[in-house]
Amino acid sequence: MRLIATALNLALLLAATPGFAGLLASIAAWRAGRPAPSPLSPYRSWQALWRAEPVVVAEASPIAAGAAAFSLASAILAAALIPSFTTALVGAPLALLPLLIVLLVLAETAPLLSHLATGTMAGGIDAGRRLAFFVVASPALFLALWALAQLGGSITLSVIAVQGGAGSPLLPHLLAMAALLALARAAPSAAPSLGSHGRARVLALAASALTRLCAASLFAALSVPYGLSGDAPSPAAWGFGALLWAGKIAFVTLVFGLVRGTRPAGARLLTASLATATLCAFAAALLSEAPRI
Amino acid sequence: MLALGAVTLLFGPIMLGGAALALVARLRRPIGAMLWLVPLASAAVALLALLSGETRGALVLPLGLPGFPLTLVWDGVSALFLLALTLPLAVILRLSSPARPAASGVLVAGLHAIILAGDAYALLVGLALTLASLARLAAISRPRLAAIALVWLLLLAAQAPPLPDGTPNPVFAAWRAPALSPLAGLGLSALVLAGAGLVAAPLFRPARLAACANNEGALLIASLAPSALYLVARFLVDLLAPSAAGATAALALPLGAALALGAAARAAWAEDFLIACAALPGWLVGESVFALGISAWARHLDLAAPTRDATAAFFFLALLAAFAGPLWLALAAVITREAGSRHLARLGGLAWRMPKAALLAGIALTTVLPLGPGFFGAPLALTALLRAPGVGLGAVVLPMLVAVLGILLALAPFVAVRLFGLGFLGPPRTPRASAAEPPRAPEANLLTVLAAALALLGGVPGLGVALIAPALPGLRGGDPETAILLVAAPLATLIAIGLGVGLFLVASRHGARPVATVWEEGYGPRPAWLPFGDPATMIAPEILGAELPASLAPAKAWLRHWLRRLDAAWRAAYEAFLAPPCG
Repeated sequence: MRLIATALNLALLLAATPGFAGLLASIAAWRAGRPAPSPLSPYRSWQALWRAEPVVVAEASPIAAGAAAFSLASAILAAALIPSFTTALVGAPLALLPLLIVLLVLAETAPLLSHLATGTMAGGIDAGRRLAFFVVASPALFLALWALAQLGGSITLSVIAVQGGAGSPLLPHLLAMAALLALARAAPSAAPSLGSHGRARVLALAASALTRLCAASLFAALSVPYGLSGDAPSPAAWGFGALLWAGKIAFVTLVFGLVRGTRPAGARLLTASLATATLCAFAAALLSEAPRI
Repeated sequence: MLALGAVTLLFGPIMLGGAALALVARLRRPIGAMLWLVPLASAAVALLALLSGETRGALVLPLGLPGFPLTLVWDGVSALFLLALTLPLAVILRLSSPARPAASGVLVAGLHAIILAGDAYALLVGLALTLASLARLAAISRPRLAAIALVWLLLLAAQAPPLPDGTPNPVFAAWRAPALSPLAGLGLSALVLAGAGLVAAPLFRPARLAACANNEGALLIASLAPSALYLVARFLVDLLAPSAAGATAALALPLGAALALGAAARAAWAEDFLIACAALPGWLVGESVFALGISAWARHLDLAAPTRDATAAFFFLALLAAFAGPLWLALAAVITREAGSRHLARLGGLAWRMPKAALLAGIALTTVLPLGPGFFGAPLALTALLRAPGVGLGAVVLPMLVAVLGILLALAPFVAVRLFGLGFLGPPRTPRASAAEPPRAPEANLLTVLAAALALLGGVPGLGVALIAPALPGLRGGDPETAILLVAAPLATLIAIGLGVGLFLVASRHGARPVATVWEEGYGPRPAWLPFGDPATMIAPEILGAELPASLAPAKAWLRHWLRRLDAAWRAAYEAFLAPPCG
């Protein structure tokens, strides 16, 4: 039964990935005042790209496709570990916060190799800016996750998601969520897939979207840890959990889309959003330990 | 006992006989060429002992001063560090035959004596032999350093609890018994860290390491990194851990953070490929000291699981620093020699000219990345912090530690992508780089040994645990989360790589129609008269990540301003103090 649940969990996340990408694009277009594309359009466009006539750009590096493939593989592995509607997964004991963070970091940074594979100044500047943002954002990110782990009382996601830090104070939860939202506002938009065409481009787009979906799903499991069925297999509970997960993801996506700026991020790394995220994360970390001080 | 006997029988007579033979000029070079077999045999013994659990024994040799026989001990810590020391040492000695065989033989004997020392006398012998031979082998070490190290050791030995009759007790095992006062614990911890820092000091001078010729820099890293970390492990993890935990944490945390951040910043912004690679061992050594601080902090608070995680991270980081440090520097030396330049701006495109070297560099860089063997470093230390509840002052200190470790974790992809991307990807940026030859077979094969060791450590589930468990007995019997994490990380690496290869094969179809580049990222195709690209549009190393120092510039200026004001106030107060009284 755990195997079936794991397969269904992974299938749900993979199937939702193009829709999630479409939803993000629709919200971004709506906020910019442009006509919003259908959230279902990535299903069609990715399929068309997958079936397009294969072409190879002269001097294109296979590193781009390789990096996208590794990024997607890391994201798929993370998706198989993050519970969406049930915690009765084969990999539930392996769903440890450090491992999930590492997988998502690898999925996000591996495609940057394709930026450097082009060898141009623009690719280098873009890759450098994204990596530098990760450096300055890391204290806020890790502090928020640390606070949520402390409140959940474990580093195993299935334990945090089921217990939900019962009896833990609400304020640090809210501050940690605010920190993550502020980080989402300050973060650069998804990296463009440079030098890839056809199937390799689909891999790059899917990797980017699935990584963000996994991050949103992780955020939902940590901050709103309700609606996940436990070890007892029950199709009705699974269905209800899947619907609740879809609602949570749609809500999180909408909030992330609304807090993001309409203009692309500038060259400055230390922004007000990042400062807010860092302060909120520090406050969440301190308050999560307040009873013990 | 068997393993200790084997190592003693191996290195004792061979060293003595070798040193005697080395006096004969004609035999020096052939003996020097075979010297690598000694550390290789020691590595094999240590590996077998670790895997079979044969990690107990002590041997008193009738050598030394009256009443001070040479005592050797063999336990999990000795076996682990002997493996960490001897495998890279064998590779480096095989890679370039030592120019001074007698000094190299003495070095190997001295390093063995440091790792196997069971008393202050054996450690004295080991340190003296090692530092003296390094002064002879590499110009980086000075006799003054050796003198300071010996004074340090005498000071340390004087702190040992005496025997019941009041005479000094040189045996290290006696340190375990007494409960120290906080002040004594602080003093001893500071003394141990100062001594280890003295030994490891050359590792934090990457420019000097990079300037060494004939793989002397790699030899220094292979010798000093495990020796220094062994001293820390033996005294602060094994002997003094329960009594000096708080003091160790207070010293090791800021020291490790400063060392790791300094070395990481050096690696992140160096424009010299060799210097960037030479800074990486210091990064791992600093991270291991930081992990030791976390372990001591958790032990001070009686937190079993975080203590275990952080101590395991310390041992893993020591192993990674010992294996990957010499590999980075030796590989960087080969690459820059073939590419004709050390400057990152003049490399590029080497992945197609020397694919095997690129693969080895990729494996070596995974030791700082949270992937494969690198997962057992900073991410494991982060796990310890995630599981450590902040009690009292810890509630304020722990978030700061998490922030520091987060920055170190985030700097890892920055450095790895920058070094690999600028060095190996993109088109070649100079004619010399476009004609680089792959490294010759013996060199490449020898470096493959170290890379394979790292790949096995990070890719075989359970191997890392098997190596560390004798040094950290509670690792296997502890709570399941640590065991799961240590097995899950290599498993996840293997699955991700396998899945990635499968996806790559699906995505890259044969028979694709080639099309010319018309417009790429705002630039046109390269004109025929600029085969290595237009310099105006090529990537420059100083551009990558330039926003980060620029963003920190106001904070640095503010800090400098206040430091200047403080300095001025201090000078004014001092001058006022020195000024003659009025009237």
